[in-house]
Amino acid sequence: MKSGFGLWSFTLVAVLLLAISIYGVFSYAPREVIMGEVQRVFYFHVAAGWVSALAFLVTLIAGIQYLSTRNSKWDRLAASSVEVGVMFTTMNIVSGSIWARPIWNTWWTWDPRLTTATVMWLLYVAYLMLRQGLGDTKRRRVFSSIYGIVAFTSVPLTFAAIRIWRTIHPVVIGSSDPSAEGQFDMTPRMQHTLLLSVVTFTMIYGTLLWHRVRLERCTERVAEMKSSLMARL
Amino acid sequence: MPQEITADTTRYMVLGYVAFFVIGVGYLVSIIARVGKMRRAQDAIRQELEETEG
Repeated sequence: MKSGFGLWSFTLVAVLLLAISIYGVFSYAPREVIMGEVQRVFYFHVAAGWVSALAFLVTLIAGIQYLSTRNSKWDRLAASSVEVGVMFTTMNIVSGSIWARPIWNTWWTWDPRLTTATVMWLLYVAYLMLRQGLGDTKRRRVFSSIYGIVAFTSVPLTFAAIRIWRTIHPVVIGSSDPSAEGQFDMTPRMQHTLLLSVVTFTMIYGTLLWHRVRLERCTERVAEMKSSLMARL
Repeated sequence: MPQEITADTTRYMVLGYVAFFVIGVGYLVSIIARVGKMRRAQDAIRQELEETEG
């Protein structure tokens, strides 16, 4: 009951923050002079990218915790965080592709950032698929933890891709490659909106993670009940 | 003095936010559907367990 109240309060705050962020994106932030309205995709695009990295970091930490304690709560947290992270990575990649069309004149290009982000997305989709395929609970938990730790190498690589290699993808925070297209200087209002979007998406991530962990616990309970029913029959 | 020409990219912005909405709401609906499915399964198993006890 107490946990339910906390969860729904958290959810309400996330929804309110989302409403304020939407106002910020469409009314508070100015229109970018060269790119026009499509630049407004930037705020949620960056926030989704940040949250996906955070989600996979949580999986890494939960995986290490599971391997050292063998407490199933860490496995639940790791798996739930991957699923939520994959959803945010999908948002990030799809919105980036839509933004790219009018700016780069293409929906997709095998640029280092886009390629590493896709590899990262595929690695975590594979995590979810492989997890489904392993029947033995203990083996599944150990395998998932190790996989979650190894797969995390793709996260810093994706972040650093635009800073290491020549790329068309702009670096808004920090210096960009001269060949990057879609570069712009952020005004203070743009910075405020970006910060608010990042906070909002972090809150949404926390809320979705909490709901997803509860679902995972419920799924495990059903599996336990099923096996005790089978034992009685 | 040269003037900056702002591109009309409104439809791409709309498309971008439609994508955020569809992916986010789609995921939320999937969580709600799975919770409902698990609750129904839990009730059905509980009922069967009570019947086997009886």
